[in-house]
Amino acid sequence: MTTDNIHSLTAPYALDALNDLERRQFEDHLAAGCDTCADELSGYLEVAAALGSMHEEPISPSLRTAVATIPDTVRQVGPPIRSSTTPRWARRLTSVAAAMLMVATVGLGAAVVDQRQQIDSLEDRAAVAALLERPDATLATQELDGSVVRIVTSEMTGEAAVLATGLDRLPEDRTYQLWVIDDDGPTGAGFLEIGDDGAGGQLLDRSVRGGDAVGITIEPAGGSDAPTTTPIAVVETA
Amino acid sequence: MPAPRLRAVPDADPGDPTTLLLATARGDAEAFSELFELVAPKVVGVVRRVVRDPARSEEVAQDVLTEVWRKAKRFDPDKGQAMTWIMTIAHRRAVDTVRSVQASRDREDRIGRREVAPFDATSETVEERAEQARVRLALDALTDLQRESIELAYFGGHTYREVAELLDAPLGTVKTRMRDGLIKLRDAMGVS
Repeated sequence: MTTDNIHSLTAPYALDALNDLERRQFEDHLAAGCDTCADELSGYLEVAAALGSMHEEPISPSLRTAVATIPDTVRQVGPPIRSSTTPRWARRLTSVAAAMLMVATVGLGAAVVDQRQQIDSLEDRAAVAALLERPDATLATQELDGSVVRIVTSEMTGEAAVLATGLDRLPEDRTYQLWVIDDDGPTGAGFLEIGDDGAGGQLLDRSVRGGDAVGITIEPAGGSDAPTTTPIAVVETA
Repeated sequence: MPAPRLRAVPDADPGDPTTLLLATARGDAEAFSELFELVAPKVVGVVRRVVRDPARSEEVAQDVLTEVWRKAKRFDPDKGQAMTWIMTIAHRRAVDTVRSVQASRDREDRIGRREVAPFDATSETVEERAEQARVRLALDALTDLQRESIELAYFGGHTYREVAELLDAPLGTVKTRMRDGLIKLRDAMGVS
C-alpha cells in the first residue's frame, strides 16, 4: 500500500469497511502521526455515529441487569497513552512485516516480540506497547508445541497482557478464554482473539498480582464461569 | 451524607454524555448507569440493524457497554464527542460479529438494496427526532450510488472490496463514493 493509496482508506475505515489487514495498515498509518487522516476521520466518525443513531431500540430488562454488574466485575484499563510518549517502535507494530522486533526496557531487559502479532484495536496496541515499556514490566513465557504464550505484567498497576503466536484457529462455537489464577482459583479475564496467522495480543480484563498465574483454556463461545477444559497454557508470573 | 461528587466540567449539563463518560472514567458506577440509560437505546439500535438476530444483538450490546466501562479512561474529550466514541465501539463490534458469524457469500445472498429506516417514532424528545430527521434529509442529498455504498458498508457490514463485488464496480470508485457521500453528509449535518 503506497502512501497515496492509504489516505483513500479513511472513509471506508470510518464505516468499518476494511478487512483486518487494511484496518491494521490504516491504524499503523494513523499511529505514525498522519494529521490529515486523523482530522478527516474524526468528521467521518461523527457522521457514522449519526447514521447509527437513527434507529433506537428499547432497553430490555435482561440487558439492564447484565450491565449493572459491570462496574463490580470488570477492571478499567489505565489512563490514555499520549502519542508523544509512545516510542517509535510501538507506533509501527504491525502484523504485516516478517521481521522480529527488539524491545529493550529497564524492566524487561531485551525481550523479543514477534512483529507479526496481531493486536485487535489501535488503543489496545498502544496500551500493550506502553505496558511493555514500563520499568516494572516483567515477562513470563511458555512454549508448547508450535505455540508461544507470553504474559507481560506490571507489578505496580497490576495490568497484564497476553501475546500469543502459533495458536490454532478455533471453530465458531469455541473461544480462547483467559483466566487469572490466584489462591482462590481461576477468574475469567477476557477472551483472546486470534488472527488468521494464529497470533493475538491484548490486555487482560483483570488485574494480576505477584504470584498469580495466567491461564488459557478453550471454552464454548461466550465463555464459562470456570475452566471446563485442561488449560492449553498456564504461565506463572513473578 | 456522602460528599457531592465533583464533575469534570462544572458548567455542563450533568446528564450530558461527555460529563457522564468522564465520571465513568473515574470509576463512578452511578454515572455509568446514567450513561447506560442515555446511550443504550442507540447502541442496541445500531447493533440490531447490523447483527439482526435479537439474542445475539443483546450479547453484543453487553460487550459494547463492557468495553465502554473498561476503556473509559481512554476517551479524550478533545478528540470528539462521547456519543461518537461509544457508537464507534458499538458499530465495530457489530460488524466484527457479523463477519465472524457468517461467510461472506451468505451475507451476499441476503443483501438486497436496503431502505433507509424511517425516523424512529419512539424517540423521547423533540431534539432527538430533529436530529434523526436531519440525518435522513442529509442522506437524501446523496446520489443513489453513494447512499448504496455507504449503506452496504455501514448497515450490511461489508468491506469496500465486498461492496465493489456486489455492485460490480471498481475498487477506487467504491472508495470515492464512500468518501464523497460522507463529505456530503458531514457538510449537510454541519459537522465541524
